Amino acid sequence: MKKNITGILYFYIHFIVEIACFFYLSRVTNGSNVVWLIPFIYDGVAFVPQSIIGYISDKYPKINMAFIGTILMIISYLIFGLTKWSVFISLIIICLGNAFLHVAGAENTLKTSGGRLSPSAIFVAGGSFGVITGKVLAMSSINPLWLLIPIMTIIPFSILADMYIEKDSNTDKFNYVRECLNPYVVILIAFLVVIARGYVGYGIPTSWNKTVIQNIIFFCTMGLGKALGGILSDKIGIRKVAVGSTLLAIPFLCCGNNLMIVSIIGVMFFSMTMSITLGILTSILKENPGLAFGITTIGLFLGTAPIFFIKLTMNINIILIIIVSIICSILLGYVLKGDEKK
Amino acid sequence: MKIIFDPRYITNNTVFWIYVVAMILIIIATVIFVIKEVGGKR
Repeated sequence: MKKNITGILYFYIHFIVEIACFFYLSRVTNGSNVVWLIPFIYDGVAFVPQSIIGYISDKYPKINMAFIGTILMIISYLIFGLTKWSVFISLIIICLGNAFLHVAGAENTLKTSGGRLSPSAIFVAGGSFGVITGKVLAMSSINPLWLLIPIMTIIPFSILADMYIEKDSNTDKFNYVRECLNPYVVILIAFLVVIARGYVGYGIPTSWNKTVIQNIIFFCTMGLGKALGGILSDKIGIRKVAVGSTLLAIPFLCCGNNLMIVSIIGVMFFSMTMSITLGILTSILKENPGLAFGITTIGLFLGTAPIFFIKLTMNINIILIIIVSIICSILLGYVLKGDEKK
Repeated sequence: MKIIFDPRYITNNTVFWIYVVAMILIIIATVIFVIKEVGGKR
């Protein structure tokens, strides 16, 4: 059996997708009078339709979602770079391109993983590195059309990743959830955990984060945490990592407002559950990994949406981090099976 | 990117309301798909 590198291939694809999206977002919002609306629409149109696209991908696996996504991103950049059309046209198209490519990554890494979490965790991690690279790149005077080159490199990488999908590739080996539980309850718990942690993620006190370098360190640590969550789950057990990382993050997040090193340790632990909730949902929706992934992205959208309307004080955020983390660790410990030695 | 919320964008913006309705419809469709898939296996 050939070594599965789909996680690494989709790490690169996700990295490029987020560079393209955050370069675009940073450029269109710079000096715009609709600065609030554009990121809000981006979050919704890029995250929410992934459930529908994922469901279609589950039902019709022959549709090449990565190719559709890449074409949409290219069209969006051509409109953005060459025309004076309304920003909302290129915005909607780039969001949909992002959504198609995310679904392709989730389907591919979950189906070829043989029940392991690390490939999808490595795929998810690529996004954090891409977000900060796109933001930094947007500060330069580079013409947006140059980004078409990295976007086009997605095609050979996705073709290579597709070669790992075999006729019997599926997610049947995902069995992380206790069998006795009602599947609707499990889905609801995983969904609530994603929403809660999505919201709390924006409330992490990071007064230390002032320079570009510190921002790069912040996003890279987040990416590292996401990848480590999956890799450690495969090595030492998903339940230990889920409960342990959620609880360990609390003191570091709460005491790291002015101390970068303390804070980023907390951010790393905090990011580890990202792929774990996906593993929980895939364990229930074994025939629908695309739909399972889409549920997590809807949760992320609903979790982050309030930040566009409400701003809480740091003390309230710290209290929320403590309460939400404890509740999430209890719920994750309740839902997940005891770890077996691998 | 600095996010500046202004309530006028909500009340006067057609794009915003089309967007909100579309998001709600997609979430409802997702719930239906989940019920169909999970219910079908029980």
